[in-house]
Amino acid sequence: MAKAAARLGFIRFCLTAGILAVIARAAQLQLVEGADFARRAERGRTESEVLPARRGTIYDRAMLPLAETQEAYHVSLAPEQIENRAALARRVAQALGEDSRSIAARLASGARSVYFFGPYTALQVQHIRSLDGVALEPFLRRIHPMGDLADRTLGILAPDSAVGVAGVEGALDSLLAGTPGETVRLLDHRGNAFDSPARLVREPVAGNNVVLTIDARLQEIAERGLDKALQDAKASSGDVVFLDPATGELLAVASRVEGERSSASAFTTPYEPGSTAKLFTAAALLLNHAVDSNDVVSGEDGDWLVPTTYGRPYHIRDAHKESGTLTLAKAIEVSSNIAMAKFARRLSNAQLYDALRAFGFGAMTGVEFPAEARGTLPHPPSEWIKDYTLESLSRGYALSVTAIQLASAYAVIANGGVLYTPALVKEIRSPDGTVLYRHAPEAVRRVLPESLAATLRGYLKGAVSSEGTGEQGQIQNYALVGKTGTAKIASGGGYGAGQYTASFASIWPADRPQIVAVVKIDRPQGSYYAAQTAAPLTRQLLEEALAARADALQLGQLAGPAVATAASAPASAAADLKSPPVVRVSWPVASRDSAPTARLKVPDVLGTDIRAASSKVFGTGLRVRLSGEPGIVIRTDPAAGTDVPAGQPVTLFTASERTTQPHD
Amino acid sequence: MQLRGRHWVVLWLIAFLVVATIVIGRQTRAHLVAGQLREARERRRVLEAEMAELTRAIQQASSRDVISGKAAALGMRVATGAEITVLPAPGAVTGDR
Repeated sequence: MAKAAARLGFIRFCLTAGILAVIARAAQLQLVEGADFARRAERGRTESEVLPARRGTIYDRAMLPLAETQEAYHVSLAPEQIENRAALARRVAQALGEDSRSIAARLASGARSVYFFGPYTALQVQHIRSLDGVALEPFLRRIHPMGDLADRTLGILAPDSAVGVAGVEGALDSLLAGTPGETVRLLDHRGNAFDSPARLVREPVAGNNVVLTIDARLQEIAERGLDKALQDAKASSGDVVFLDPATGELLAVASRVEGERSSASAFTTPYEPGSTAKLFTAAALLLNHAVDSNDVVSGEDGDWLVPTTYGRPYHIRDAHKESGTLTLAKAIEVSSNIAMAKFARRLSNAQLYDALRAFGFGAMTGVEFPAEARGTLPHPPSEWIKDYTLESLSRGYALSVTAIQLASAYAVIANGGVLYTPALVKEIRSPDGTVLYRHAPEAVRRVLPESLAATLRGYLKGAVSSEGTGEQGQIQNYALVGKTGTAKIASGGGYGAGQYTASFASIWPADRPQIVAVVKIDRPQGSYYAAQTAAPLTRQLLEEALAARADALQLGQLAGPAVATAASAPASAAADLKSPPVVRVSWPVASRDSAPTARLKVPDVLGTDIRAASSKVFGTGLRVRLSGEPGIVIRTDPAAGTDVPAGQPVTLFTASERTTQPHD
Repeated sequence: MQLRGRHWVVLWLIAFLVVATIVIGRQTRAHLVAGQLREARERRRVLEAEMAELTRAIQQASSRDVISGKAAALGMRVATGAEITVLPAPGAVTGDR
């Protein structure tokens, strides 16, 4: 009996222990490891998916898209799920632009999946997306609707990611990128995923849109012109920069470097500017009252042996030999190295350094472009070589500048003396269009008084006159002012023979500047002088800009007769030093041999449209005034057939065609 | 009338069915709306792709390379500064920028 009781007690104990063990294990599973098991179970029937954010669009200043993000697809076919492979091969081939026989062959090859990398647009895959056996793999890709226009300024994204690594894409990546979203998708036992609207964790937020200051029309003109010029001159590289001097906005930036597809050298590659920088030495001289309009120096017949305090003289030579004396204005006009070096000796090292620094040389401009170069400007006295650096700086050597810096410095002279930070970004807009940022001109400092800037523009006028080096850059009727520079290229501790940088910095139009243009061509072959390379290219680019529908240009300001031509301006700018004369030329410009008393008949333009009528009257040699609504000419004053002196204005009274049509 | 046990069971059953019907109805509608949303997004993607394609075609057709090529074939060229006259539009004010 006692044995039986003991056995029963043992069995009870075992059962109790077993139950307690089960309870303990259940508690462990539920309370301790429950969360982990729940997660593992959740992973088995759901998957988390990152929803990529659409990257913001980059526009030009007229809202033409330069870079935008678009959904694209890779396509894969599962032969096992396809009933009629031949029919599907035809449809897929038609949609994707592939060969149907090749697709059919790949489907019949026994492969489990047939993959087409593409990428294909939503437009291409729209008719095959719902077919059995067709799977689409969507992704976002960056496209450039205007081709490679401004591609070096826009920059690139890292391969296989949406992260900007260069150019504007890199500089503004955090603004453009947006915030990725997240969703949870349901999985069935086969692993097929299903959207679950209730499980959207976070919607993706698209990136902001960026409106650049670049004008696509001007950019196209600049790139195309630069490409052709480099080809014609067999040159290795070059830059073109158009900048609005009133705001600092960059209107076009074109860079080409032999063998480099993405180099934005206008921002990143400094060069010795040569004679284009002589104007800044002139500015330093005028700012420090070291010269006046009557001061002259000898031209030394184009070869000056520069005396030095350490006993070893060296030569400074001029391409244009001047036997007489030169004023500062004349020195700029004929681009005399000797005269500029002699004048510069009136400055202390600090005076010249401070003036060049004030124009922004040797410092980054602050433009929104990564890896912008600061250039070099040696600091006196430690980085200066006595009797050499000052003379070199005076003619644009011993310092290096980027094309952007040079344009920015010329803008100081164009706008009346203020240095602005050059800008690439005009606006930043949220995806719903709200303007988050709008560029306002950022004045860095006043470098010159307005009167001095006007004097320097007068010097530049001389430099593009018939006596100057930049005559071939001049535009008839819409005059520019500017300065050429043909600088030797430094290499291997010296200056290589026959290697030059030809550049032309200009301000256009001369009287109310809208564009500062810097054109640079490296290592042109044959005619290497800037006067024969960069200056004519500038003229061609600006003439094309004048004839184009560029948003950045204020053509209205060019209307009317208030345009001075360099041809009619005094040949020497020396006379302009105190008060540059304003020359106003009436249209049409009477040719030199035309008789001033010639009389012309007013042509009959009644009933013709305003454009044709204006053209006809101009063509006759008379001026046009317009009065009324755009449309057709209903009356002229004086009347058609009247004899009038050449150049007299004829008023065209116009009305819209609607108002002139007879009522039924 | 006093509710008996079976009545309560029926009432609970009916309540359960109503709630279940509402839940299933809402889920079904959610899936329908999700499908419509998917289709709308797909349509938008197609239209965006079409717009990008057309924009590219327009830009290509109006590019200087194409236009100047065609113009040159017709014996035309870009006007020089001497040949361009900007006329003030009637009533236009040409003030400072």
